[in-house]
Amino acid sequence: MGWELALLLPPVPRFFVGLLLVVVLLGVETLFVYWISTLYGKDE
Amino acid sequence: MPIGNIDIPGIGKEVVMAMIWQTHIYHSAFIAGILLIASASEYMGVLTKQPKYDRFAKGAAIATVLLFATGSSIAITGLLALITLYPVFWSHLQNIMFWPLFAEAWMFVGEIILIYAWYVSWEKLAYRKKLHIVIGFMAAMLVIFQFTLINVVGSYLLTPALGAEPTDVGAVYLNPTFVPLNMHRFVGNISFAGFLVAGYAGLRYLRSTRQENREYFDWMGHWGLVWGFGFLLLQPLIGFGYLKSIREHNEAAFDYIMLGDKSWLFNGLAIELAVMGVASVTYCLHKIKFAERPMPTLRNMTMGALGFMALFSFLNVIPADMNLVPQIGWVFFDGEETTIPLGGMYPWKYIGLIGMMLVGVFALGLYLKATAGGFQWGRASRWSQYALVITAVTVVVTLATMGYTRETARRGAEPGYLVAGCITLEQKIVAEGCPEAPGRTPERGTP
Repeated sequence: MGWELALLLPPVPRFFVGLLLVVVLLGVETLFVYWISTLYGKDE
Repeated sequence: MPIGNIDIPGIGKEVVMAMIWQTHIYHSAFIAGILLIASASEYMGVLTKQPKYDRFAKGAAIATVLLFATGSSIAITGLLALITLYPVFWSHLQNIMFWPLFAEAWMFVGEIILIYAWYVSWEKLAYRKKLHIVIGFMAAMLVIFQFTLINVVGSYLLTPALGAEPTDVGAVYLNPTFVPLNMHRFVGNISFAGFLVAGYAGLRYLRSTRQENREYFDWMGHWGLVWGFGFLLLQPLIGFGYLKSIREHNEAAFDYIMLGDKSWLFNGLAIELAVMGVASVTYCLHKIKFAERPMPTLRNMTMGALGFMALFSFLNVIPADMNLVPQIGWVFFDGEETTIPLGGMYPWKYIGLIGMMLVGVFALGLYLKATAGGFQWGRASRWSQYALVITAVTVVVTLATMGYTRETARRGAEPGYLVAGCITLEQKIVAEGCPEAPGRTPERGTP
Protein backbone atom coordinates (compact mmCIF):
# COMPACT_ATOMS: atom_id res chain seq x y z
CA MET A 1 0.00 0.00 0.00
CA GLY A 2 1.15 3.50 -0.74
CA TRP A 3 1.53 6.65 1.25
CA GLU A 4 -2.14 7.45 0.63
CA LEU A 5 -3.10 5.13 3.46
CA ALA A 6 -1.64 7.67 5.87
CA LEU A 7 -4.41 10.06 4.83
CA LEU A 8 -7.22 7.58 5.46
CA LEU A 9 -9.96 8.68 7.79
CA PRO A 10 -11.04 6.34 10.58
CA PRO A 11 -13.77 3.81 9.61
CA VAL A 12 -16.76 5.65 11.08
CA PRO A 13 -16.07 9.04 9.41
CA ARG A 14 -15.26 7.14 6.21
CA PHE A 15 -18.67 5.51 6.37
CA PHE A 16 -20.41 8.84 6.79
CA VAL A 17 -18.41 10.52 4.02
CA GLY A 18 -19.44 7.68 1.69
CA LEU A 19 -23.05 8.01 2.75
CA LEU A 20 -22.93 11.76 2.23
CA LEU A 21 -21.53 11.31 -1.28
CA VAL A 22 -24.32 8.89 -2.19
CA VAL A 23 -26.93 11.27 -0.81
CA VAL A 24 -25.47 14.25 -2.68
CA LEU A 25 -25.22 12.34 -5.98
CA LEU A 26 -28.71 10.92 -5.79
CA GLY A 27 -30.18 14.09 -4.32
CA VAL A 28 -28.98 16.19 -7.23
CA GLU A 29 -30.25 13.61 -9.70
CA THR A 30 -33.62 13.30 -7.97
CA LEU A 31 -34.12 17.08 -7.99
CA PHE A 32 -33.19 17.14 -11.66
CA VAL A 33 -35.61 14.37 -12.61
CA TYR A 34 -38.34 15.95 -10.48
CA TRP A 35 -37.82 19.27 -12.25
CA ILE A 36 -37.99 17.57 -15.67
CA SER A 37 -41.16 15.78 -14.66
CA THR A 38 -42.92 18.99 -13.61
CA LEU A 39 -42.19 20.43 -17.06
CA TYR A 40 -43.60 17.30 -18.62
CA GLY A 41 -46.77 17.62 -16.53
CA LYS A 42 -47.48 21.12 -17.89
CA ASP A 43 -47.40 19.97 -21.48
CA GLU A 44 -50.02 17.30 -20.97
CA MET B 1 3.74 1.51 -8.33
CA PRO B 2 1.33 -1.08 -9.75
CA ILE B 3 -2.06 0.44 -10.47
CA GLY B 4 -3.75 -2.22 -8.38
CA ASN B 5 -2.03 -0.99 -5.26
CA ILE B 6 -3.33 2.55 -5.37
CA ASP B 7 -5.61 3.66 -2.63
CA ILE B 8 -7.92 6.62 -2.55
CA PRO B 9 -6.88 9.27 -0.01
CA GLY B 10 -9.40 10.13 2.66
CA ILE B 11 -12.09 7.56 2.12
CA GLY B 12 -10.15 4.55 0.81
CA LYS B 13 -11.11 2.30 -2.05
CA GLU B 14 -13.76 0.39 -0.15
CA VAL B 15 -15.89 3.50 0.29
CA VAL B 16 -15.39 4.35 -3.38
CA MET B 17 -16.81 0.96 -4.34
CA ALA B 18 -19.64 1.29 -1.84
CA MET B 19 -20.53 4.73 -3.10
CA ILE B 20 -20.56 3.77 -6.78
CA TRP B 21 -22.47 0.52 -6.40
CA GLN B 22 -24.93 1.90 -3.90
CA THR B 23 -25.76 4.67 -6.34
CA HIS B 24 -26.03 2.13 -9.14
CA ILE B 25 -28.32 -0.19 -7.22
CA TYR B 26 -30.75 2.64 -6.50
CA HIS B 27 -31.19 3.06 -10.23
CA SER B 28 -31.30 -0.62 -11.10
CA ALA B 29 -33.64 -1.66 -8.28
CA PHE B 30 -36.04 1.12 -9.21
CA ILE B 31 -35.95 0.25 -12.90
CA ALA B 32 -36.42 -3.47 -12.21
CA GLY B 33 -39.46 -2.73 -10.06
CA ILE B 34 -41.02 0.06 -12.09
CA LEU B 35 -40.85 -1.81 -15.40
CA LEU B 36 -43.00 -4.56 -13.96
CA ILE B 37 -45.40 -2.14 -12.26
CA ALA B 38 -45.65 0.05 -15.37
CA SER B 39 -46.23 -2.87 -17.74
CA ALA B 40 -48.89 -4.26 -15.42
CA SER B 41 -50.47 -0.77 -15.27
CA GLU B 42 -50.52 -0.47 -19.02
CA TYR B 43 -52.28 -3.80 -19.21
CA MET B 44 -54.69 -2.69 -16.48
CA GLY B 45 -55.43 0.32 -18.67
CA VAL B 46 -56.50 -2.00 -21.48
CA LEU B 47 -58.58 -4.17 -19.17
CA THR B 48 -60.34 -1.35 -17.30
CA LYS B 49 -60.31 1.28 -20.07
CA GLN B 50 -59.36 3.91 -17.48
CA PRO B 51 -56.86 6.39 -18.94
CA LYS B 52 -55.03 6.98 -15.64
CA TYR B 53 -53.31 3.60 -15.90
CA ASP B 54 -51.88 4.48 -19.28
CA ARG B 55 -50.86 7.96 -18.13
CA PHE B 56 -49.05 6.37 -15.22
CA ALA B 57 -47.34 3.75 -17.39
CA LYS B 58 -46.14 6.38 -19.83
CA GLY B 59 -44.84 8.61 -17.04
CA ALA B 60 -43.02 5.59 -15.62
CA ALA B 61 -41.54 4.91 -19.06
CA ILE B 62 -40.19 8.47 -19.20
CA ALA B 63 -38.68 8.09 -15.74
CA THR B 64 -37.15 4.76 -16.78
CA VAL B 65 -35.60 6.24 -19.91
CA LEU B 66 -34.18 9.13 -17.86
CA LEU B 67 -32.74 6.84 -15.21
CA PHE B 68 -31.63 3.89 -17.31
CA ALA B 69 -28.74 5.62 -19.06
CA THR B 70 -27.47 7.15 -15.82
CA GLY B 71 -27.74 3.85 -13.95
CA SER B 72 -25.94 1.94 -16.69
CA SER B 73 -23.13 4.45 -16.97
CA ILE B 74 -22.57 4.24 -13.22
CA ALA B 75 -22.18 0.47 -13.63
CA ILE B 76 -19.51 1.01 -16.28
CA THR B 77 -17.70 3.45 -13.96
CA GLY B 78 -18.02 0.88 -11.20
CA LEU B 79 -16.49 -1.86 -13.32
CA LEU B 80 -13.62 0.44 -14.26
CA ALA B 81 -13.06 1.19 -10.58
CA LEU B 82 -13.28 -2.50 -9.71
CA ILE B 83 -10.69 -3.47 -12.32
CA THR B 84 -8.41 -0.62 -11.26
CA LEU B 85 -8.67 -0.95 -7.51
CA TYR B 86 -9.14 -4.73 -7.13
CA PRO B 87 -7.33 -6.26 -10.13
CA VAL B 88 -6.39 -9.56 -8.48
CA PHE B 89 -9.85 -10.13 -7.14
CA TRP B 90 -11.45 -9.11 -10.40
CA SER B 91 -9.29 -11.39 -12.55
CA HIS B 92 -10.35 -14.38 -10.47
CA LEU B 93 -13.96 -13.32 -10.30
CA GLN B 94 -14.09 -12.80 -14.03
CA ASN B 95 -12.70 -16.30 -14.45
CA ILE B 96 -15.34 -17.84 -12.19
CA MET B 97 -18.22 -15.67 -13.34
CA PHE B 98 -17.54 -15.53 -17.06
CA TRP B 99 -20.85 -17.02 -18.21
CA PRO B 100 -23.15 -15.08 -15.89
CA LEU B 101 -21.34 -11.83 -16.75
CA PHE B 102 -21.37 -12.67 -20.45
CA ALA B 103 -25.12 -13.22 -20.34
CA GLU B 104 -25.46 -10.04 -18.26
CA ALA B 105 -23.81 -8.00 -21.01
CA TRP B 106 -26.33 -9.29 -23.55
CA MET B 107 -29.19 -8.42 -21.26
CA PHE B 108 -28.02 -4.82 -21.48
CA VAL B 109 -28.21 -4.94 -25.25
CA GLY B 110 -31.74 -6.32 -25.13
CA GLU B 111 -32.84 -3.76 -22.55
CA ILE B 112 -31.48 -0.82 -24.49
CA ILE B 113 -33.40 -1.96 -27.55
CA LEU B 114 -36.64 -2.76 -25.74
CA ILE B 115 -36.88 0.02 -23.14
CA TYR B 116 -36.35 2.76 -25.69
CA ALA B 117 -38.54 1.01 -28.25
CA TRP B 118 -41.25 0.70 -25.61
CA TYR B 119 -41.09 4.40 -24.86
CA VAL B 120 -40.93 5.76 -28.41
CA SER B 121 -43.61 3.46 -29.81
CA TRP B 122 -46.23 4.57 -27.27
CA GLU B 123 -48.32 6.53 -29.78
CA LYS B 124 -47.37 4.55 -32.86
CA LEU B 125 -48.56 1.30 -31.35
CA ALA B 126 -51.66 2.85 -29.75
CA TYR B 127 -53.84 0.63 -31.91
CA ARG B 128 -51.70 -2.44 -31.29
CA LYS B 129 -51.74 -1.98 -27.55
CA LYS B 130 -51.18 -5.62 -26.68
CA LEU B 131 -48.02 -5.78 -28.74
CA HIS B 132 -46.86 -2.65 -26.96
CA ILE B 133 -47.57 -4.17 -23.56
CA VAL B 134 -45.62 -7.27 -24.53
CA ILE B 135 -42.60 -5.07 -25.34
CA GLY B 136 -42.83 -3.56 -21.84
CA PHE B 137 -43.10 -6.96 -20.18
CA MET B 138 -40.20 -8.28 -22.25
CA ALA B 139 -38.04 -5.37 -21.08
CA ALA B 140 -39.09 -6.17 -17.51
CA MET B 141 -38.20 -9.83 -18.00
CA LEU B 142 -34.75 -8.91 -19.29
CA VAL B 143 -34.08 -6.71 -16.25
CA ILE B 144 -35.30 -9.48 -13.97
CA PHE B 145 -32.94 -11.93 -15.63
CA GLN B 146 -30.17 -9.38 -15.43
CA PHE B 147 -30.45 -8.88 -11.69
CA THR B 148 -30.75 -12.66 -11.35
CA LEU B 149 -27.35 -12.95 -13.00
CA ILE B 150 -25.79 -10.30 -10.79
CA ASN B 151 -27.30 -12.04 -7.78
CA VAL B 152 -25.25 -15.09 -8.80
CA VAL B 153 -22.16 -12.94 -8.33
CA GLY B 154 -23.41 -11.30 -5.13
CA SER B 155 -24.45 -14.54 -3.46
CA TYR B 156 -21.30 -16.36 -4.56
CA LEU B 157 -19.12 -13.81 -2.75
CA LEU B 158 -20.86 -14.64 0.53
CA THR B 159 -21.33 -18.38 0.02
CA PRO B 160 -19.05 -19.76 -2.70
CA ALA B 161 -19.95 -23.08 -4.28
CA LEU B 162 -17.79 -25.70 -2.62
CA GLY B 163 -15.35 -27.75 -4.63
CA ALA B 164 -16.74 -26.47 -7.91
CA GLU B 165 -14.40 -25.74 -10.79
CA PRO B 166 -14.97 -22.36 -12.42
CA THR B 167 -16.20 -24.22 -15.48
CA ASP B 168 -18.93 -25.83 -13.40
CA VAL B 169 -21.47 -23.17 -14.27
CA GLY B 170 -24.34 -24.99 -12.57
CA ALA B 171 -22.63 -25.20 -9.19
CA VAL B 172 -21.47 -21.58 -9.35
CA TYR B 173 -24.88 -20.37 -10.50
CA LEU B 174 -26.83 -22.31 -7.90
CA ASN B 175 -24.56 -21.50 -5.00
CA PRO B 176 -26.16 -21.92 -1.56
CA THR B 177 -27.72 -18.48 -1.06
CA PHE B 178 -28.53 -17.65 -4.68
CA VAL B 179 -32.18 -18.68 -4.71
CA PRO B 180 -33.26 -16.93 -1.49
CA LEU B 181 -31.28 -13.80 -2.41
CA ASN B 182 -32.94 -13.71 -5.78
CA MET B 183 -36.41 -14.01 -4.28
CA HIS B 184 -35.55 -11.31 -1.77
CA ARG B 185 -34.34 -8.95 -4.46
CA PHE B 186 -37.25 -9.66 -6.81
CA VAL B 187 -39.78 -8.75 -4.15
CA GLY B 188 -37.65 -5.93 -2.76
CA ASN B 189 -37.27 -4.21 -6.11
CA ILE B 190 -41.02 -4.06 -6.65
CA SER B 191 -41.62 -2.83 -3.12
CA PHE B 192 -38.88 -0.20 -3.51
CA ALA B 193 -40.27 1.11 -6.78
CA GLY B 194 -43.82 1.07 -5.40
CA PHE B 195 -42.96 3.18 -2.36
CA LEU B 196 -40.94 5.61 -4.47
CA VAL B 197 -43.90 6.03 -6.81
CA ALA B 198 -46.11 6.64 -3.77
CA GLY B 199 -43.72 9.24 -2.35
CA TYR B 200 -43.35 11.00 -5.68
CA ALA B 201 -47.11 11.08 -6.12
CA GLY B 202 -47.44 12.49 -2.62
CA LEU B 203 -45.12 15.37 -3.46
CA ARG B 204 -46.80 16.06 -6.77
CA TYR B 205 -50.25 15.91 -5.14
CA LEU B 206 -49.23 18.47 -2.56
CA ARG B 207 -48.05 20.83 -5.28
CA SER B 208 -50.91 20.26 -7.72
CA THR B 209 -53.51 22.99 -8.13
CA ARG B 210 -55.65 21.62 -10.95
CA GLN B 211 -58.39 19.24 -9.86
CA GLU B 212 -57.55 16.81 -12.65
CA ASN B 213 -53.97 16.51 -11.43
CA ARG B 214 -55.03 16.23 -7.80
CA GLU B 215 -57.24 13.29 -8.67
CA TYR B 216 -54.52 11.64 -10.71
CA PHE B 217 -51.72 12.03 -8.15
CA ASP B 218 -54.01 11.00 -5.31
CA TRP B 219 -54.72 7.79 -7.21
CA MET B 220 -51.04 7.35 -8.10
CA GLY B 221 -50.05 7.51 -4.43
CA HIS B 222 -52.58 4.79 -3.70
CA TRP B 223 -51.35 2.70 -6.63
CA GLY B 224 -47.70 2.96 -5.58
CA LEU B 225 -48.51 2.15 -1.99
CA VAL B 226 -50.47 -0.98 -2.90
CA TRP B 227 -47.44 -2.32 -4.77
CA GLY B 228 -44.90 -1.13 -2.21
CA PHE B 229 -46.73 -2.25 0.91
CA GLY B 230 -48.09 -5.43 -0.69
CA PHE B 231 -44.65 -6.69 -1.63
CA LEU B 232 -43.08 -5.42 1.57
CA LEU B 233 -45.31 -7.82 3.49
CA LEU B 234 -43.62 -10.78 1.82
CA GLN B 235 -40.17 -9.62 2.83
CA PRO B 236 -39.95 -10.78 6.47
CA LEU B 237 -40.69 -14.37 5.39
CA ILE B 238 -38.30 -14.36 2.43
CA GLY B 239 -35.66 -12.49 4.44
CA PHE B 240 -35.96 -15.12 7.13
CA GLY B 241 -35.33 -17.82 4.53
CA TYR B 242 -32.33 -15.89 3.23
CA LEU B 243 -30.82 -15.47 6.68
CA LYS B 244 -31.43 -19.13 7.39
CA SER B 245 -29.43 -20.11 4.34
CA ILE B 246 -26.64 -17.70 5.33
CA ARG B 247 -26.58 -19.30 8.77
CA GLU B 248 -26.27 -22.75 7.22
CA HIS B 249 -23.51 -21.86 4.80
CA ASN B 250 -21.55 -18.99 6.32
CA GLU B 251 -21.97 -19.02 10.05
CA ALA B 252 -19.32 -16.38 10.70
CA ALA B 253 -21.19 -13.90 8.51
CA PHE B 254 -24.49 -14.74 10.16
CA ASP B 255 -23.07 -14.25 13.65
CA TYR B 256 -21.49 -10.96 12.66
CA ILE B 257 -24.69 -9.40 11.32
CA MET B 258 -27.22 -11.01 13.64
CA LEU B 259 -25.43 -11.35 16.97
CA GLY B 260 -22.09 -9.57 16.70
CA ASP B 261 -20.75 -6.07 16.12
CA LYS B 262 -23.07 -5.30 13.22
CA SER B 263 -26.30 -6.59 14.71
CA TRP B 264 -27.42 -2.96 15.12
CA LEU B 265 -28.15 -3.04 11.41
CA PHE B 266 -31.13 -5.22 12.15
CA ASN B 267 -32.28 -2.88 14.89
CA GLY B 268 -32.17 -0.23 12.20
CA LEU B 269 -34.15 -2.47 9.88
CA ALA B 270 -36.77 -3.06 12.58
CA ILE B 271 -37.20 0.71 12.94
CA GLU B 272 -37.48 1.12 9.17
CA LEU B 273 -40.03 -1.68 8.89
CA ALA B 274 -41.99 -0.13 11.74
CA VAL B 275 -42.07 3.26 10.02
CA MET B 276 -43.13 1.78 6.67
CA GLY B 277 -45.72 -0.53 8.22
CA VAL B 278 -47.33 2.10 10.45
CA ALA B 279 -47.23 4.81 7.77
CA SER B 280 -48.79 2.48 5.19
CA VAL B 281 -51.64 1.35 7.45
CA THR B 282 -52.22 4.97 8.54
CA TYR B 283 -52.55 5.93 4.89
CA CYS B 284 -55.04 3.10 4.27
CA LEU B 285 -57.04 4.15 7.33
CA HIS B 286 -57.21 7.73 6.10
CA LYS B 287 -58.14 6.72 2.57
CA ILE B 288 -61.07 4.54 3.67
CA LYS B 289 -62.71 7.73 4.93
CA PHE B 290 -63.11 8.73 1.29
CA ALA B 291 -64.62 5.50 0.04
CA GLU B 292 -67.55 6.03 -2.31
CA ARG B 293 -69.82 4.13 0.06
CA PRO B 294 -69.25 4.81 3.78
CA MET B 295 -67.58 1.80 5.42
CA PRO B 296 -67.59 2.34 9.18
CA THR B 297 -67.02 -1.32 10.14
CA LEU B 298 -64.14 -1.67 7.73
CA ARG B 299 -62.67 1.56 9.04
CA ASN B 300 -62.89 0.40 12.63
CA MET B 301 -61.19 -2.87 11.76
CA THR B 302 -58.39 -0.98 10.02
CA MET B 303 -58.08 1.18 13.12
CA GLY B 304 -57.58 -2.00 15.15
CA ALA B 305 -55.06 -3.26 12.61
CA LEU B 306 -53.13 -0.01 13.00
CA GLY B 307 -52.96 -0.57 16.75
CA PHE B 308 -51.67 -4.10 16.33
CA MET B 309 -49.22 -3.01 13.65
CA ALA B 310 -47.79 -0.42 16.05
CA LEU B 311 -47.62 -3.02 18.83
CA PHE B 312 -45.83 -5.67 16.78
CA SER B 313 -43.52 -3.06 15.26
CA PHE B 314 -42.58 -1.88 18.72
CA LEU B 315 -41.82 -5.46 19.74
CA ASN B 316 -39.44 -5.77 16.79
CA VAL B 317 -37.64 -2.54 17.65
CA ILE B 318 -36.60 -3.59 21.18
CA PRO B 319 -32.85 -4.39 21.06
CA ALA B 320 -31.56 -7.64 22.60
CA ASP B 321 -28.97 -6.01 24.86
CA MET B 322 -27.34 -2.69 25.69
CA ASN B 323 -24.42 -3.26 23.29
CA LEU B 324 -26.18 -1.04 20.78
CA VAL B 325 -23.67 0.36 18.29
CA PRO B 326 -20.16 -0.44 19.54
CA GLN B 327 -18.50 1.31 16.57
CA ILE B 328 -19.60 4.73 17.81
CA GLY B 329 -19.49 3.91 21.50
CA TRP B 330 -23.17 3.24 22.10
CA VAL B 331 -22.55 0.63 24.76
CA PHE B 332 -24.48 1.24 27.96
CA PHE B 333 -24.37 -0.41 31.37
CA ASP B 334 -22.64 -3.78 30.96
CA GLY B 335 -23.10 -3.94 27.20
CA GLU B 336 -23.88 -7.46 26.06
CA GLU B 337 -24.34 -8.60 29.67
CA THR B 338 -27.31 -6.27 30.15
CA THR B 339 -30.15 -7.97 28.31
CA ILE B 340 -33.39 -6.14 27.70
CA PRO B 341 -36.73 -7.84 28.41
CA LEU B 342 -38.69 -8.79 25.25
CA GLY B 343 -35.54 -8.13 23.22
CA GLY B 344 -34.59 -11.74 22.41
CA MET B 345 -35.02 -13.23 18.96
CA TYR B 346 -36.94 -16.23 20.22
CA PRO B 347 -39.86 -15.96 20.70
CA TRP B 348 -40.35 -12.19 20.68
CA LYS B 349 -38.99 -11.19 17.28
CA TYR B 350 -40.73 -14.13 15.64
CA ILE B 351 -44.01 -13.03 17.22
CA GLY B 352 -43.31 -9.46 16.12
CA LEU B 353 -42.43 -10.31 12.53
CA ILE B 354 -45.18 -12.85 11.97
CA GLY B 355 -47.70 -10.57 13.65
CA MET B 356 -46.60 -7.66 11.50
CA MET B 357 -47.04 -9.68 8.33
CA LEU B 358 -50.46 -11.03 9.29
CA VAL B 359 -51.75 -7.63 10.42
CA GLY B 360 -50.34 -6.06 7.27
CA VAL B 361 -52.06 -8.61 5.01
CA PHE B 362 -55.29 -8.07 6.97
CA ALA B 363 -55.09 -4.28 6.67
CA LEU B 364 -54.20 -4.43 2.99
CA GLY B 365 -57.03 -6.89 2.37
CA LEU B 366 -59.51 -4.48 3.98
CA TYR B 367 -58.07 -1.63 1.99
CA LEU B 368 -58.35 -3.51 -1.30
CA LYS B 369 -61.94 -4.36 -0.41
CA ALA B 370 -62.61 -0.63 0.01
CA THR B 371 -60.74 0.06 -3.24
CA ALA B 372 -63.06 -2.24 -5.15
CA GLY B 373 -65.95 0.12 -4.30
CA GLY B 374 -63.97 3.16 -5.45
CA PHE B 375 -62.62 6.26 -3.71
CA GLN B 376 -63.32 9.94 -4.09
CA TRP B 377 -59.98 10.90 -5.59
CA GLY B 378 -58.42 14.29 -5.02
CA ARG B 379 -59.67 14.79 -1.48
CA ALA B 380 -56.79 13.28 0.49
CA SER B 381 -55.38 15.34 3.36
CA ARG B 382 -51.84 16.68 3.47
CA TRP B 383 -50.93 14.26 6.25
CA SER B 384 -51.81 11.18 4.23
CA GLN B 385 -49.43 12.43 1.55
CA TYR B 386 -46.72 13.03 4.14
CA ALA B 387 -47.18 9.37 5.14
CA LEU B 388 -46.44 8.38 1.54
CA VAL B 389 -43.34 10.57 1.41
CA ILE B 390 -42.17 9.04 4.70
CA THR B 391 -42.49 5.51 3.27
CA ALA B 392 -40.46 6.56 0.22
CA VAL B 393 -37.67 8.09 2.30
CA THR B 394 -37.63 5.08 4.60
CA VAL B 395 -37.46 2.56 1.79
CA VAL B 396 -34.42 4.37 0.39
CA VAL B 397 -32.70 4.07 3.77
CA THR B 398 -33.80 0.43 4.05
CA LEU B 399 -32.25 -0.51 0.72
CA ALA B 400 -28.94 0.98 1.87
CA THR B 401 -29.16 -0.76 5.24
CA MET B 402 -29.79 -4.17 3.72
CA GLY B 403 -27.18 -3.77 0.98
CA TYR B 404 -24.58 -2.70 3.52
CA THR B 405 -25.52 -5.63 5.72
CA ARG B 406 -24.90 -8.23 3.06
CA GLU B 407 -21.61 -6.71 1.96
CA THR B 408 -20.27 -6.13 5.45
CA ALA B 409 -21.19 -9.71 6.41
CA ARG B 410 -18.00 -10.85 4.69
CA ARG B 411 -16.02 -9.03 7.39
CA GLY B 412 -17.52 -11.46 9.88
CA ALA B 413 -14.58 -13.84 9.72
CA GLU B 414 -11.07 -12.48 10.29
CA PRO B 415 -9.46 -10.84 8.34
CA GLY B 416 -12.47 -9.98 6.16
CA TYR B 417 -13.09 -11.43 2.74
CA LEU B 418 -13.94 -10.43 -0.78
CA VAL B 419 -14.89 -14.04 -1.55
CA ALA B 420 -15.82 -15.67 1.76
CA GLY B 421 -13.08 -17.94 3.01
CA CYS B 422 -11.04 -17.50 -0.18
CA ILE B 423 -9.84 -13.99 -1.09
CA THR B 424 -9.23 -11.51 1.70
CA LEU B 425 -9.95 -7.80 1.58
CA GLU B 426 -6.25 -7.32 0.84
CA GLN B 427 -6.73 -9.55 -2.23
CA LYS B 428 -4.64 -12.36 -0.71
CA ILE B 429 -5.69 -15.81 -1.78
CA VAL B 430 -5.99 -18.13 1.19
CA ALA B 431 -7.21 -21.70 1.68
CA GLU B 432 -6.59 -24.65 -0.52
CA GLY B 433 -8.10 -24.68 -3.97
CA CYS B 434 -9.15 -21.05 -3.71
CA PRO B 435 -10.54 -19.07 -5.24
CA GLU B 436 -11.70 -21.10 -8.21
CA ALA B 437 -12.46 -24.30 -6.38
CA PRO B 438 -12.56 -23.84 -2.64
CA GLY B 439 -12.03 -27.25 -1.09
CA ARG B 440 -13.05 -26.29 2.42
CA THR B 441 -16.29 -25.23 3.90
CA PRO B 442 -16.37 -21.50 4.48
CA GLU B 443 -18.68 -21.99 7.46
CA ARG B 444 -15.92 -21.36 9.94
CA GLY B 445 -14.79 -18.43 7.88
CA THR B 446 -11.12 -18.93 8.61
CA PRO B 447 -8.78 -20.77 6.24
